[in-house]
Amino acid sequence: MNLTFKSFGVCCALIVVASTCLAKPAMKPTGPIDVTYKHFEYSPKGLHLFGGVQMTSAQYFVNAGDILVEQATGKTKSMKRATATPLAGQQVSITYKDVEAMKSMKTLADRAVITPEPERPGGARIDLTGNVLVEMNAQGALDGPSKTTLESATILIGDGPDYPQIKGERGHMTLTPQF
Amino acid sequence: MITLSAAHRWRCGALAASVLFCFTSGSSLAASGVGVTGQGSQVLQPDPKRPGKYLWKLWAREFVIESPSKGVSGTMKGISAVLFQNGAPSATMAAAQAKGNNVQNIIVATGGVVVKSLVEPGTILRADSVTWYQQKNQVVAVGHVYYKNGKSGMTIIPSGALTANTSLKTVSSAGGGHIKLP
Repeated sequence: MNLTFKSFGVCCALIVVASTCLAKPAMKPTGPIDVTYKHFEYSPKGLHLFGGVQMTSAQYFVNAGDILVEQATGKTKSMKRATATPLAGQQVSITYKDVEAMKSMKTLADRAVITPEPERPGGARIDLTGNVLVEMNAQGALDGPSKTTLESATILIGDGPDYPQIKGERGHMTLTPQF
Repeated sequence: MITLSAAHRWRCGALAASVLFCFTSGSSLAASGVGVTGQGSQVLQPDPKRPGKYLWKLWAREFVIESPSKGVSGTMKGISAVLFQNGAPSATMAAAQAKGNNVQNIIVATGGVVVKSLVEPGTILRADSVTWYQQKNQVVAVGHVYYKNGKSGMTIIPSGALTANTSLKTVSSAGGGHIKLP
């Protein structure tokens, strides 16, 4: 059974509520971030990773063609911002997994920008643009998977039960309830 | 006391013309058929473009200087060095052994090589072998390479060679590998 919501505001609210309900209450750090690459160049301007880059933190996994990491000016984080672009014919993929809460979320987009937000514990935001697709294996009270297409979306990650949060623009959601 | 044959003195004269040797402990200096061996030395390479400045300074526990009549090359053990760029000290280097010459101004250090940036405190490079190309302002590290940036805390473990400038502020690698951002 598929349910289609025409009102995207309802979709966003539902996603946020569902994410909040499923989130594990324990504190989880976002760093350190492990990166594998085929080629890299590092200078005081930033870190540029080329060709099939994978970026993994305690909360998310990014698979992209190239990632450009801008240097932080502060002391709290080494990464100011990371921009991920895909290889030709592919999309940037970001996977969020919380095994203990039995949930996972995968997002695909043409471009992703990851920005640490140290003002929130473990905080970071991932801005997705271009043919965004969000897939969740469980959708809160509906207890079923969902697929959402969006023009753009922002994922907020951080420590505590309120994260991750998703905010989207102009989308279409398909839910598959299991009850 | 240092004793050398006339031929060896000439060779050392040619050597001294291009490389300034200051023997901090001359008691064990000895001459061989192709050059000079000794212990406890400091080698200073003047910068020809900048009077009063240096390209590198090197201290060695043991050394063998070869073919001094055609430029100077040498093998040194237990070395520590200061590498200069544009007349300014840019990095220190320590290694079990090093080979170098003053024609190409290349130093090849092997055996637990550690390079520390003097421009960016805390930035270090470790490898089995590090080759410093003074004229290119470049170091190339191979074998169990480990890089840590003192400013960001970023660590890099490349699968292959890692190339950096002398101060270690600019780094690149094409062979794949692993980076950790704290």
